[in-house]
Amino acid sequence: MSRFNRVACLLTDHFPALFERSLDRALTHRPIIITSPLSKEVFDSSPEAAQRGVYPGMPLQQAISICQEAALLEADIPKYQAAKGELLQDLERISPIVEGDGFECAYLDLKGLDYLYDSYEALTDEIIGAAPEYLTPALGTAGGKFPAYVAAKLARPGQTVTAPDDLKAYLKEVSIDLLPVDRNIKARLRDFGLDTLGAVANLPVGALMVQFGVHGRLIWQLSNGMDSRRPVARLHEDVLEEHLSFPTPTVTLSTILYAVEVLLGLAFSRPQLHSRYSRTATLKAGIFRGPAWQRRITFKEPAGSKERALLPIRYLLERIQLPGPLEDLTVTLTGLTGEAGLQTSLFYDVRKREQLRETVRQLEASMGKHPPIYQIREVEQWSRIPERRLALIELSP
Amino acid sequence: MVKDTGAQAGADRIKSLNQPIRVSIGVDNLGTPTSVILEQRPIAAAVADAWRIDDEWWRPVPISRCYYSLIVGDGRKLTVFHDLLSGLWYRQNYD
Repeated sequence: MSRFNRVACLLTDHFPALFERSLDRALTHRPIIITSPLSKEVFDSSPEAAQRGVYPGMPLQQAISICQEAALLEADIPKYQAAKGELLQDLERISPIVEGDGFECAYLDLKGLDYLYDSYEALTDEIIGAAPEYLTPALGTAGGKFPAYVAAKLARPGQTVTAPDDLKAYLKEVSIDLLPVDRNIKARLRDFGLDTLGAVANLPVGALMVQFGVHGRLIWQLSNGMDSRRPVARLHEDVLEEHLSFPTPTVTLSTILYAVEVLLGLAFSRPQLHSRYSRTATLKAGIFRGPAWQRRITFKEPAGSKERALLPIRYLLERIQLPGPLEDLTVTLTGLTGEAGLQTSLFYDVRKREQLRETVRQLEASMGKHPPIYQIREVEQWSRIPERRLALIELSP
Repeated sequence: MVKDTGAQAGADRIKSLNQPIRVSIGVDNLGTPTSVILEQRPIAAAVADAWRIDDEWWRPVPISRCYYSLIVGDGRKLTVFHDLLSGLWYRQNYD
């Protein structure tokens, strides 16, 4: 396989902890444990804490007992997401197909980039150089995502490792810890004496599926080097963002609502939003001596004006308890509609279909995924077998 | 560029309706239903109609069923069938 017809995995292990360390010099020589905002569990840890046995999802008490001198920080997920977004944007200047996978890594499709770079080494150096040095990035390349990830894990910081074509032999001694499955499944594999991908690959796939269901097939395929998945490019949508900083941190509702109104007015006056509607607004605020606060509002009907957008935002802010004084505020409008206004049709049937399509789109914006809506369709109405006559088919407008 | 949703298209995204439901049936010495267990108690049933279907012979598990339209004790209509291959009884709306 040509080295350019490969998938690259840029590994940025312990991204949140190392990002926090870059912001505070006092944490340079101290282990870090980042706590989950929703539960008393570890969200992430620095490499030193990880070497002592701290892992994401570990109960906090247990983590503190293992690493007593660690600095405890509450996770500021919006901040980490913004930093990761910037990294992905920098990588998209190298390859148009970039897929982020949580905070741990990003995948790039290298196909076609041989026309842009003098050599394969120049390309891999550019990819590693896109990540800040404090993240100690490593790069792995292979024919698919999982072997590229394994190659990156085996690389030292700043190094590129290219997996050979014979993946089964390459993965033979690799630990099962690298498989993208739940910790419980890994524990069960160890209980069966399966500590390496080579041991798993030697088993018949049926035996693994009996024990682990669909995960069994995935485990077997990956252990045998069968992974030709390529990265999927991020979906870029129009986003409008307006930001302001308060002169002093404030908790006064009237001040905050006035700031929201000003930001919405600025956003709706932008040319990109001219005669268009927005389905979702996100409020982000920096909190004085606390992690950032964020809340997403989905409008029941797409909002085409500042007044329409302000109503549900005011309703939300009047009823929630803010976590502290706000230092700044950002309003982001997303889910911009394509059409200029709400166009209706003269024909009843067409209007009904359009209303249904619009409702499905609103649900999708609210749920963040395709809503489970089905329709009954006649398949073989003439069949003598009753269960063949009708079917439930997922509605796709 | 339209993002690949990652969802796989295929028959798994279509769900059948009106699947048969297992039911317990009392039969006479000719195998004709005389009672049916509904709400955990046996209810007498009379046969209003009967028909047989044999279909999908090309599949690994073909269809061979004897349907009965029953009138149960409280006047309700119920359609059941005897799967002639497995020997089990099921209820299923036929109309």
